[in-house]
Amino acid sequence: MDSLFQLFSDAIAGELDIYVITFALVSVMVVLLLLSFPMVVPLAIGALIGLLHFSDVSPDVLIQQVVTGISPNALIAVPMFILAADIMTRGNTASHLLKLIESFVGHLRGGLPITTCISCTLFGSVSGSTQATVVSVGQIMRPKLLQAGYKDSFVMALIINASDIAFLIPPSIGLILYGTLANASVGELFIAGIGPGLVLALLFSGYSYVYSVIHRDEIALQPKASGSERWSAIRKALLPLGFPALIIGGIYSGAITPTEAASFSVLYAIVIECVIYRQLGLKDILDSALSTGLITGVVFILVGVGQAFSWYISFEQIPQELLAPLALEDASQEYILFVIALSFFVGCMFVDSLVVLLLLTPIFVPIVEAASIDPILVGVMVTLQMAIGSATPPFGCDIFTAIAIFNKPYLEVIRGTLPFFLLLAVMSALLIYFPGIALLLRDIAFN
Amino acid sequence: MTHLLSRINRFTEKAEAAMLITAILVMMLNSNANAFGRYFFNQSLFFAEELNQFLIVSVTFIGMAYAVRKGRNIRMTAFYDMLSLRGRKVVTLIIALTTSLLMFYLALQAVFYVLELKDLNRLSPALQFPVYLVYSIIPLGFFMAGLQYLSCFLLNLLHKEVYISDGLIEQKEY
Repeated sequence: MDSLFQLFSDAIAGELDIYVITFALVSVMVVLLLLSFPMVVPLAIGALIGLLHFSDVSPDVLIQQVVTGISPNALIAVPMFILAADIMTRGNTASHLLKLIESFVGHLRGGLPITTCISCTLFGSVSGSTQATVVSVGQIMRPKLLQAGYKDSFVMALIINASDIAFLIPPSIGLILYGTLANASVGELFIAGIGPGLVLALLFSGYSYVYSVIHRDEIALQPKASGSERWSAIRKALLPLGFPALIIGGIYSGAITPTEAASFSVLYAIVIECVIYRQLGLKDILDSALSTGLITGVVFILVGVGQAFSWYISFEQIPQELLAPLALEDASQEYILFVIALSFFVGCMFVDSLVVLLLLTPIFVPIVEAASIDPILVGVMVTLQMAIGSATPPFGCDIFTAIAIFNKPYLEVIRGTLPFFLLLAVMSALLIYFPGIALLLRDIAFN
Repeated sequence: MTHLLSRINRFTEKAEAAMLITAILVMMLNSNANAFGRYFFNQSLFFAEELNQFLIVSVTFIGMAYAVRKGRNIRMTAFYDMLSLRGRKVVTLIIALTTSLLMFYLALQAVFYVLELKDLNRLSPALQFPVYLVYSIIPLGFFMAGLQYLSCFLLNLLHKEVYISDGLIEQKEY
């Protein structure tokens, strides 16, 4: 009884053990999440309990921190890339890119799934959103793959997972947000994401080939495209290919910043879709702007409230105390990266990857700094885990996008995901032991 | 009375949408003008970053309220989906009421924050514009979101169906 009383008086005096505080915060937040409160509520309540109860800080600090969280200039790139992707998803960009790849590899064994992988990678270099990729590439490729005789479980798993390559290939909204949270250069992160994205496309293409060889009796080969068909596909894809040239080339050469690349890509998308292809009109642009405003509001209020929460936990030095038993300061770089990857992966399996990013990044940043690990490498690793989590049961958000647009039940959508998940685990291991996959291009471009 | 309320509701929805579209398009024009200026005329717009910051604050808070209206928040509905209709109704009522109270509380704190900025008479460095005027959008956004959750609470209280937001009724089967 005495000890219970002591606990309450400690709580009132605000002198609680860090573990009790953390436990209280985490339990409240988890319960709210599971009850399906909007994500902003658990974050805001967590920050408020922390600020009001355990620390002696005025609650309007919360508002001030929300504003601080959404103020970094690099964040302007997020709505701009969302807008560009929205305009392109309404237009013809995806189908032109796809036809280009198909005309060259479509006739090979495994050609159609390989086309899907490469198209997702290319479309990822045009838009920064995995869901946009699921929608635009998936809707075109799935009927073709089914018609050729591929099983639907394989097809859906392929589309969901290949779309996640878009998360690593610049422009990537995950990389921009990580860069802002961890104070790392978005330009360097963009360039470092390319290598792992390409390796992943290669691994998935390899699996597609093996799968097609094993099931060769059921799968029909596609006719080979003629020279003139290829030429016409190249000509049609030239304009969409201007995006990666503009974004990656511009940032790689140091000529433009990621924010400038973002605003140029909106202008480019409007010029292509409205002026050259004449596919979209003013109304489409206004619709795109409205949808962009809505998504930006949903994402940025989380970023802002997440900043308030992380301000509180770093004010209380919670990360340092919480992670102390793991003795991460003296651990090897591989071990630290493994712990980070595992934490993000488990988190993203259950909660929206954005929320995991907002919560865990401030916890791990001090460790990464203390152990002097390259924050760019950590950023790529974290983004890879966010991508894996979005495609992994139980709650990956791409799975739900696929359920919605393909109109298939949950169990059927996830049935074929295991081989892809194993490849993604291999990719994580490769990144831990061969960081050059990410850092080589970055070092060439920036040092 | 109901008629008047629904007209106000429609008007605010249109106003929010118009503000979002304008803010996003101005942000695009502003960023492009700035980048072009830096590139071709070697001169950035002196106010570009500041204007973008004002726009992003506006988009965040209006967009948040607009998303609540459209029932487009990020929620984790896995366990919620397993509940019976009655269970979902109860949970939705609790969520709507609690969230609306939280939004009103945040709106109040935001009012204090804005008043503090007004007292300090803080002007933005480039445009020399009173910062508190722009940031007034913060309490407004929280307040509108709170109203939306409150109306969702009332709709669920008065009707049989499960309302996710005003005008959006949950389908029984997905």
